[in-house]
Amino acid sequence: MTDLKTPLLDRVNLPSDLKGLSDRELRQLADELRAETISAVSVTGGHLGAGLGVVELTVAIHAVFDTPRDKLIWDVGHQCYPHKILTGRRDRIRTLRMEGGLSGFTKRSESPYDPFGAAHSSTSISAALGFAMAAELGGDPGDAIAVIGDGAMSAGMAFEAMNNAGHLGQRLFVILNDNEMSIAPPVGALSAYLSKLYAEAPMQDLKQVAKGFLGLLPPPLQEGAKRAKDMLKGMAVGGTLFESLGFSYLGPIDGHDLDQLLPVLRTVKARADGPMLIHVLTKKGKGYAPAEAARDKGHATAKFDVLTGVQVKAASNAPSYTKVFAQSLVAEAERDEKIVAITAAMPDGTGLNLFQDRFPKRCFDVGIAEQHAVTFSAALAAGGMKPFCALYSTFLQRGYDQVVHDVAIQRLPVRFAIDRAGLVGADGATHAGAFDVAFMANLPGIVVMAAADEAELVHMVATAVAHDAGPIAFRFPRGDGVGVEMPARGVPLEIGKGRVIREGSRVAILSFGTRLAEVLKAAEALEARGGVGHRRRRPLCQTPGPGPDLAAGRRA
Amino acid sequence: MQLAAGHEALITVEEGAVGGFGSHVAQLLADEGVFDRGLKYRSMVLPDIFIDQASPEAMYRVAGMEAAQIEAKVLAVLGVAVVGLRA
Ligand SMILES: Cc1ncc(C[n+]2csc(CCOP(=O)(O)OP(=O)(O)O)c2C)c(N)n1
Repeated sequence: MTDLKTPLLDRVNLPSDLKGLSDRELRQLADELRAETISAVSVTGGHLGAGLGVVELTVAIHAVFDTPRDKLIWDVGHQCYPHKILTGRRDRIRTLRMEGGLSGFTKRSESPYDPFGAAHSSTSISAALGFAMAAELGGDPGDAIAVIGDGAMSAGMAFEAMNNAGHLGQRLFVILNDNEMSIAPPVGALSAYLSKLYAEAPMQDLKQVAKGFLGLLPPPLQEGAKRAKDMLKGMAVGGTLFESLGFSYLGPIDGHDLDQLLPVLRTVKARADGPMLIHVLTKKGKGYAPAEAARDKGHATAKFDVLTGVQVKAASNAPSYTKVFAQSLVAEAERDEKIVAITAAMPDGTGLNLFQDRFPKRCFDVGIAEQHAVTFSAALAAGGMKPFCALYSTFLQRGYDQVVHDVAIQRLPVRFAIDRAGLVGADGATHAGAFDVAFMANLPGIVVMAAADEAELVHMVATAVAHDAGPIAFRFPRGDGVGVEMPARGVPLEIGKGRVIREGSRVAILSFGTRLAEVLKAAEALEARGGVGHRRRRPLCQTPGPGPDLAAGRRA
Repeated sequence: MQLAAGHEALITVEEGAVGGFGSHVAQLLADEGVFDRGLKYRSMVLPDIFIDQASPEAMYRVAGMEAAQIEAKVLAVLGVAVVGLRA
């Protein structure tokens, strides 16, 4: 958008610049901020829908609270682009997710306005509580505010934090940003509960109530803390779940209406004396029709044309590894009805949407709950099924104890399909699939495989189906395959056996996974130099079974 | 093992941090006494840093795992001069 006019936004470099603006000006600022966010993401690609949903919330929080003294923590951090624009980073916003550019998530090293980095979900309440207690104990002063989505709220960690916060009773703000979306439509009983909350009390108009409270100022210094709390409670309906956890619940309110957000936040800031949950309803992709209309509400997008919303996508002549995995699994599942599939809130990302379409009863989206996904899979295996637990390498980290304690020690044949293995690009270090081989292969009795190309992946799915003696994992990268010929159907590989690809004499290169393509290039270059013989194998890795097994595994 | 026996040097390559495939291979070779007989061994893993966002290709360049860098590793292990190669 070359004709993008943002006169008010142009005057804002830091949140302190919002303090002089009237509520009317803040409304205009929000509109400009939305336009600037759309314009920036059209150039960089990235997470669009979540940011558009919190434009007004971002403005309201920065207008009312005093960041960076107050610690504002965005859960996941994928919705923080408007926040970055308002916190001194507008000049670099068109470098989002690029090499040397701004991170697509919050990042401590990037700005004091990002007091706690994220990218994996559901950490924000724990972090906010930590800041609140640090302030209490004489550390950095300031309020702590967590903004967490309804998807992220479904994870166990969020509840662990609320449980602890309710117990500690420290002043703390949790803003539940409820857009009835995760990446896919959210699943589970919590989601149903939240929907019920606002079905029963549609949207609250808290304008008058909030103003009434403000009219009661100057409180509550002398006033009993209890009284302030009761007043806040009076604004709430329902929310019993949160109340039972020791939070004061307020809402639900319209998260796109600054006339409500501003007075409500001002009131809670003035009055809250314990943990406070503010339930805000928003719309993912708000204010940009192509995002609102998209299946994922513009969760993640490539670069796009602002007028039409059409995304620029590079053509490819090989299928993605994700798709190859999903199609192979569907093919295997046609022949074996014991096969079931588990995803933690990533049906599209893992390709399991294909499986879901074909076998809805055998596919489980458990929500953002990797720990549960792993233990649930373990018991599915113990119960005689063949579970394929499909997780990104980076998110499998969260379920590690479950891998060790529930799967490996019990030698249960859970099949781990580890997507996004290796370096992943624009999502950066937080999403790198760097550690899975190390933390999986050191477990006794597990088989770990890495596909070197998409045809091997087909065979590895078949291998995993056939391997019933214990856990087995196979990893594959993000992106497209190398374009090899595809087998009509997968054939189980012999565990522990490699493949000799070229023969040489002096140097042997053992490649594990998709670096094989680079290794082959290197080999060609070396051959051209002459004089350096080499050969390459792509072995499977059978990790520590009893000693002899291991040796056999390596012998190839 | 055969692979190790038949070659002067062995190099593993993987898209993962230290402690993975290469470490298991090294452990096995050490246990079997292969290094006692003088095998040259190198393991190419992701470096001991968190690599910032870039294209995956650029990130693997930072990690030292592109074809040219693998080539350089081979030459280095054999003690061949690597003049003119990016390491
Ligand atoms: C532990 C973990 N698992 C999975 C993801 C992938 N992920 C990123 S955003 C997202 C959905 C978040 O939904 P919600 O909290 O409702 O936020 P919204 O995008 O709707 O604003 C998921 C599943 C993640 N970031 N972290």
